[in-house]
Amino acid sequence: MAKAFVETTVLTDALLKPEAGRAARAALRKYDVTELPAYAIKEFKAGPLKNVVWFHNKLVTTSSFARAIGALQKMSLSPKRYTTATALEALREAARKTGSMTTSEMVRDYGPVASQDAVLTDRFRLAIKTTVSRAWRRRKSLVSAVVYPLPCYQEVDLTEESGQLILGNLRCNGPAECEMAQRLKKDQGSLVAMKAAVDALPQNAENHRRSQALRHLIRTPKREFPDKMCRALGDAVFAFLAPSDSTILTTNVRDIEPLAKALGKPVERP
Amino acid sequence: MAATSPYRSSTSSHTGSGHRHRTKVVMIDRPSWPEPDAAVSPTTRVSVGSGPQVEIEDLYPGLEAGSHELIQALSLLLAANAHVQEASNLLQEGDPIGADLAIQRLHRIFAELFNCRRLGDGFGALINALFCSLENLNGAPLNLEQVHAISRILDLIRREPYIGFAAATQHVDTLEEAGLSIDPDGFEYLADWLDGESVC
Repeated sequence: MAKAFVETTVLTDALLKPEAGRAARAALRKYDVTELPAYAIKEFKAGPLKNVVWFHNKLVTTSSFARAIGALQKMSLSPKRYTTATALEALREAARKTGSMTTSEMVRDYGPVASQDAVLTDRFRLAIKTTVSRAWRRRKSLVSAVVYPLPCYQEVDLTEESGQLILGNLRCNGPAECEMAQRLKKDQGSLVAMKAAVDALPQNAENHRRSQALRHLIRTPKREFPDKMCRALGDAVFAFLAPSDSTILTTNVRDIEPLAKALGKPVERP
Repeated sequence: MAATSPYRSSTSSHTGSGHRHRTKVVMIDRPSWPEPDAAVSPTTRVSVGSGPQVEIEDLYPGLEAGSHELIQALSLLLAANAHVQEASNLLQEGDPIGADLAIQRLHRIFAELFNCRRLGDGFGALINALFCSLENLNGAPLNLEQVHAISRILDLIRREPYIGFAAATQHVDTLEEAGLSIDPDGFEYLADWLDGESVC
């Protein structure tokens, strides 16, 4: 029986992106069983979903698509698949198309609500709000089972206040003992193997933080393991938790594969 | 001022500016599914016991100032439904060109309907999804299943123009199930950008 262990990047594609989402959902359907660790939902909410909600709220507060895109450009985010220039060109094209659907006649009859920027702002605001609402509704039903619950993390539903979306808590706020640390430090051999794999990767801020977190669990397992370190574990959690009879499904093969390989687990891209 | 649109009611349509925002609404809401047999009804009827049936539009005979948007929306929805009904009939009669001609009339109507979005985010989200569904076809004709899916959503909006946002998003799923793509042009690129990595 084919089993997939779903990583956050695939969850994100499936829930937030139209085209990449179709590919992700098709990949999930190829497996008899698909398991998603609760850690992925926490990571999804604190990362990609937070960014999307930020942009939604920027549309609300600026009431301008152009100003919201300007704010996004200042956020130093580098698109995953495309270049920033390609993304900007696609959004300019979207603006041009929207410009052709509104007319001076409509602005005269309906007022400012029919202006190009107002229409574009609300088309994206409503599309994002719809996507976020559906993503939150589907986050658990997309897979056969959500596994490895996190008692230290209380999931809170999204709400809305004055048009802005409110994410609620993004960090662990339950018992002081980190569930993930509890699980990982029981298997020192795997921790050592994963740390060696991380240390062999090119040095960057993310790998450095992950190495530090693994080191903490290896050398000082009795010391408190804060939420910040739990989040730094990231890819290591998926490599570690994936059952031996499963394939880790991820679009981030570059980072996950060395960790999974160290534990003898297969990785696949949708 | 409202003489330019063939779909416009005789009532003034100017509605002012700004968004209508609601306070503290939990996004998970009750589902509100349409009747299965409401697929391509040209008009929505409300039954009151065994008595005469009442047209939705007749329920709002003397709307006060501030409800012009609703009158406008209902008028546009009636026109849209007529075109969809026509397309459905023509597709079933084996006239895809005629059906597509009728569907093409929806573009302008949906653009106007989107200007009535202060009726609520549920209304706006559904009209936006319908509009994107047509745009994303890039000129390809709708099949009968897709026409019916659009018809069901239009019927729903006419019955519940103030539909809640969470309920509306449940219905958006039916458009996707019919093979329609509901996001605006450029959305994939924006979503990819927002999923990007910080370069700080």
